[in-house]
Amino acid sequence: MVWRMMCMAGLIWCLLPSGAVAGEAPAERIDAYIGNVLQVFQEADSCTGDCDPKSELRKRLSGLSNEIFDFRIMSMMSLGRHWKNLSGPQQDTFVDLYRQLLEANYFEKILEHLKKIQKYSKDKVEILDETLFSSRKAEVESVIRHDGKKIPVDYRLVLQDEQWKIYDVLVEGVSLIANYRKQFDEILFEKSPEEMLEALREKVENDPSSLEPEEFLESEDKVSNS
Amino acid sequence: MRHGHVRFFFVLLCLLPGLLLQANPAWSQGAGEESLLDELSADYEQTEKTAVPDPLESWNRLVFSLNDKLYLYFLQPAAEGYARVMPEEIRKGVRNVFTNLKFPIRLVNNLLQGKWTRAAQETGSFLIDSSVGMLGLAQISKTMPGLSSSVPGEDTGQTLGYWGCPEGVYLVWPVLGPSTVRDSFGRVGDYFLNPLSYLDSLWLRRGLKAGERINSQSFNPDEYEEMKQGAMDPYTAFQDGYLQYRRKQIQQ
Repeated sequence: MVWRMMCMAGLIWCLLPSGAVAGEAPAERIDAYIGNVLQVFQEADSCTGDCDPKSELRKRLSGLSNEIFDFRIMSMMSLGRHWKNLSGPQQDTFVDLYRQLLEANYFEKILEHLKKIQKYSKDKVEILDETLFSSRKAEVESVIRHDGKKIPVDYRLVLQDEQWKIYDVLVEGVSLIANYRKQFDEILFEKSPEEMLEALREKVENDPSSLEPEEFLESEDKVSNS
Repeated sequence: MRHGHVRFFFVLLCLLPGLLLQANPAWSQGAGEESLLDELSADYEQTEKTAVPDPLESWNRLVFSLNDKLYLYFLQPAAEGYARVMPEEIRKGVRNVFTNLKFPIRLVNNLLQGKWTRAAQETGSFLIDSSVGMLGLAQISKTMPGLSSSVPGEDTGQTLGYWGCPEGVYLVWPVLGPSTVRDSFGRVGDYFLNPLSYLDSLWLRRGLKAGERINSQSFNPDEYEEMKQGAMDPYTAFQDGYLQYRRKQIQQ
């Protein structure tokens, strides 16, 4: 009897994925993230007069995304086999520039979608399903209801340091990371990693919306002064 | 007694990997790093293996930049002007009428793929929207649970894909934009299933189709520019976006 119980206990212990110690489940993480983003918008919307300036809003959203997105894994997946051809410092530079590019463009767009949702009510965003592919890889399916349409948004997550982090977003089935992977592959087919980084830096710096908060504010001042 | 030994070994065997992992997390992580990346990469490598070839790339890129100019100098200004004079409610109504009119495309392709429930849902929506909804002006069916609001649209290209027809090579058509050989044949099928194609006057046909395009453009005026802005190489970004999107549609 004792043996049988020990056998069972042993079996259960082995079958338990080591990731089971993680705090929040993937779907809960996504749900909390969306909730936080909507709250930031709500606060920005409801305050009158002495409000957070636009740059403050960006900074807070960027802080939220840093908590839940794993930009290093995103970078590795976006460069694929080319990742190993970059030196250590080049890899770090890439992660930083790529993060800025993503924040300036795609996160903004997802946030736009959320912003359009009337009164920022949360029931317009629905989490449908959570799939655990292994102890450290998961996918969360959600839809954003807007203008009588349903926009499916899926998140791919990886367990890093006992926390689930997003490394890919699929809007209407189109993977953001796969899309960039194809582009970087095309570029690195004919250019060196250094040239690719230069092109990326240029892209990030020429994009008015990707400026760091302080610079963003300055450029706005300049526009309003002139 | 012997029985006991066997059991003991069994338990030990079970415990061993667990013990090792729990006792030395650094070891398990170090060994896991590489395999984790392999695990995550698998999704992307799978799509790379089945990538659609683009032997006409230089020609396609030329057409892509031509379309880009057409978009910038014709479609976008036209849609902007149209949106300024036409209230959103009317534009939505126009969109609904066109959607309703293209019912045969969805019905026939649902039937060709054996999607009977969806075919019935589409038919129900069409009947309700055409009558109570005044020729499709109001999409009454959207408010009815179980009708077309949750049904993904079907077209001939998807039917060809469903039956295993390969995509062929990637193509960019003037005006029409990204496509593949399969989707080009699909478009021909859709043309014959679109009631608008049977209007007598050529210019009326063209006018209505252009009107539909401008009308639909007026709803998301910035989408194209935003996508272009985020891309390192817009041609590749739109090519991959189109191919991923179509594959997803066929799965549904």
